[in-house]
Amino acid sequence: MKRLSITFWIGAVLAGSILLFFLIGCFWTPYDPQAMNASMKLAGISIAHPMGCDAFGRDVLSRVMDGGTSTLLVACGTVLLGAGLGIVIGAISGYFGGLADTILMRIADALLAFPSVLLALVVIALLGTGEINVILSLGIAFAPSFARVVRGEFLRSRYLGYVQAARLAGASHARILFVHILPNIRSVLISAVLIGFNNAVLSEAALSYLGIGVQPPQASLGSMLAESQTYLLTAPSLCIFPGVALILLVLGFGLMGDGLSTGRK
Amino acid sequence: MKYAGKKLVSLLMTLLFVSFLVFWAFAVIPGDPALAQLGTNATPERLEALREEMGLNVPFLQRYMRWLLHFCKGDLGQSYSYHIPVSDMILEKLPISLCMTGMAFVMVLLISIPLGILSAKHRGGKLDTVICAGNQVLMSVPPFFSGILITLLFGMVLHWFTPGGFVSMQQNPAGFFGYLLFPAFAIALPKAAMAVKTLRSALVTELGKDYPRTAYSRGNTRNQVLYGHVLKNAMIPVLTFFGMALSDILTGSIIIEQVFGIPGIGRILLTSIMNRDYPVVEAIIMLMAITVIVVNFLVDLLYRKLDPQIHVET
Repeated sequence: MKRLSITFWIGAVLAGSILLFFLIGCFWTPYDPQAMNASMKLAGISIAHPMGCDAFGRDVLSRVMDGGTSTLLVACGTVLLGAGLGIVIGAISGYFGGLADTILMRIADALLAFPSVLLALVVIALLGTGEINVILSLGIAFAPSFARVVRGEFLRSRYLGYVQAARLAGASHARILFVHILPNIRSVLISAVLIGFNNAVLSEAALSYLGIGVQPPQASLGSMLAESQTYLLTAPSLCIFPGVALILLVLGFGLMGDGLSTGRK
Repeated sequence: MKYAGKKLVSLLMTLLFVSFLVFWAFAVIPGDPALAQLGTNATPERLEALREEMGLNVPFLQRYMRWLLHFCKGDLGQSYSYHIPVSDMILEKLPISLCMTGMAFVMVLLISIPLGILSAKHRGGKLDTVICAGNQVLMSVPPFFSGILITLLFGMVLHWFTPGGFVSMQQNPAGFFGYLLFPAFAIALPKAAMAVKTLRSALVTELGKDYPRTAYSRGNTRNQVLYGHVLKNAMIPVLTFFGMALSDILTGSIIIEQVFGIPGIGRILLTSIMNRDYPVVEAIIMLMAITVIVVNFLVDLLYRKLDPQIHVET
């Protein structure tokens, strides 16, 4: 077992604690995140409401936990879809090469020409808003960059000794691709997944900030930030808490990725 | 310039493919734009007339060719909801978005190059640690959140600008640029942080090579080695980064325009998506993709110019 750098552990602790916080939000929140309470409108920070209440008197702590959960859900779905598509496409493209490679990489290049949020906007313009569509659109938007990374690794691996040996031993192409090569490129994959996860979190937040992600009244960190803008001066805490939760999550995963790549020297 | 020619051909192929992809995507969606436009006053005759007028009755490929030809001539079609040429809509707002993107890009350069050099110069020191830690945090802040914080700090607490008080360039040029300074800064911050990181690691890698040592042994001072020898080589990976950053800055501007209430391209794009005004969406997306592709092409050429060792076969 290699020793991992201190950066990685700081990131892991940060990401782990914020993940735990959101995961608790899956099962339990101090209040109903949707419950409005007119008497608590824009209430400040108190023991009963550690993060205060929003303009509808909803408990901000509960909403951050709930919103974080949906952000996580979308980010995980996006990474699973994007990485899954990317791995299959990249593996085929890099391992077999030839015409399939040329065609697939041309398509990937064309898709990469669209900034990912823009691509997601197009897909949403076509399919309509909602959580599933956000996952679908971001997954498609992220697949080409995964495919590029994976393709490079498969291209490099295809001439290595152990792959040739597996082929001589009579292993099928599918077995070589996914049983032999895939586990061997895991370190590159992990970094790509960590970066992809962060991009997914940020893109999801941006989309729901624009009002085309998760639809109200369901909480989402991005839409909470959008709502908080109206009361920026009177209740700055409304934007600080969801924003900081977002930053901590991204920072944690960023540090983990950083620690992994420097630790591998 | 055989290389440039080859690249140009692949650039044109990509552009053609992108245009096809965009047109195809908006053609296969269910729903008849003519019907949507007529709404409840649709009669079969009027529907047929409008379909004829919008050119929906010809086969797909023919429609695509026509659209592409018109696009190349600068005719981007008619907006479904405003019934004015899309090019007029875009041209009116383009200067605003271009100014903001340009300012953000200049800010990224102005912030990242000195800080990156400073950080690499004092690598391992206290200043370097502070810069690196600051980078890591700034990279994690979504631009729209830094936009909100900037509104709060500079707009509401310090009163350096009026949030939501955007003025057009014709009305008040100074006010226009003064207002755009803040959204541009919000877009630039995370990109600048990433650029500092890229530049720093490139400089550190270069400084560890043999030639700076040779340069030192020939009596060059630290600054001479850094600015005269190392910086030029370290700029190569950074250049690629700046090329890629542009596409993020473009997307960033769509979101930041919402934060600061700026009526630019991003605003038109979002309202057009909501209104299902597809000609406008198609045109804006095409323009953005073209910008990104062309910039990447230029970066590729410049890259080659800077480093004659690169002989990529594609």
